[in-house]
Amino acid sequence: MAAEHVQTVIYHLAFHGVNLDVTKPVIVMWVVSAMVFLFLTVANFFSGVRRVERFLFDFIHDAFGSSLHTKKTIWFSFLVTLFLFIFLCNLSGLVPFSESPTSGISVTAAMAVVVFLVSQLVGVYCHGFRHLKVLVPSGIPVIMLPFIIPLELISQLARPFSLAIRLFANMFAGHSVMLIFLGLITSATFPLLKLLPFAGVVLLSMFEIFVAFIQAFIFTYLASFYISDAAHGAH
Amino acid sequence: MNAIGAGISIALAALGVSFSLAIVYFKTLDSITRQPDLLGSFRVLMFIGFAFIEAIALYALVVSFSIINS
Repeated sequence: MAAEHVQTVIYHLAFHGVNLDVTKPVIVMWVVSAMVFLFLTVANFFSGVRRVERFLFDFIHDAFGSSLHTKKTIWFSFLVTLFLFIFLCNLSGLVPFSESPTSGISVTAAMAVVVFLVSQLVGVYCHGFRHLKVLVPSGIPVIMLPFIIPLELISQLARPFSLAIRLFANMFAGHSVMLIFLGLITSATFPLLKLLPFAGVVLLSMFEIFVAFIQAFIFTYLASFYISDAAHGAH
Repeated sequence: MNAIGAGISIALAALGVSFSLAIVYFKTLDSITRQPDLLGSFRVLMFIGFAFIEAIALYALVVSFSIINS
């Protein structure tokens, strides 16, 4: 499993016994963060970049704006950054000598926990103590409450889990299927037969670009749904 | 023994997911023939549904990989 496989450590770092080793995905993440930051700041100075940014903002606004009716501007920047970061992290798996950070469970789990905390804090900010009413669906008889509340609690806590596993499994599965096809190239004995898995790898790489986009889209879509649900759902 | 278990887990997941994908695709084609004007929004919704359903097979793939390595 990718989560357990040993990474080559580039620089050893530990903080009070917490392992903070610098590995290849960590460096890829730094590069991706710098690219997102540069893209969003440089766009103020070049009209060509601004046009691309404008297009992207319109796309994200059309896709997620409907679920964020109020307090749009605050959460819009969060969603744009999340989308760009995940999309570039997914795409970096297709660059030679690079490794996708999102094909490790720790990165996706961290992002899912951030989304969970943000959605809960938005709920508390908007409704205060009444945010706990999320656990009690309206129109439920009192006698059912001891059964319903644990169920709702589990469904709330399962959200970050499913977010993390979905992104991780998609990236990890794509990479391992590509690895199997690459193994078929070397194991083919007849030279002309090597063309078949090679064509498979080319097609899979194209499919991976599509998957990278759609998984970033889904992660951001669900994040916007959770935030808007905490802000004005079930109250 | 591990290999058999991993194979069974991914096979069952693929069976269920292929049926679900078929249902989604069938219903989308049905909707497009009824309302050809809404093709664009149907396509987006279909791909979102595909990604959600596909993820279930990929959960099973991760589980089967961990069964093999255990």
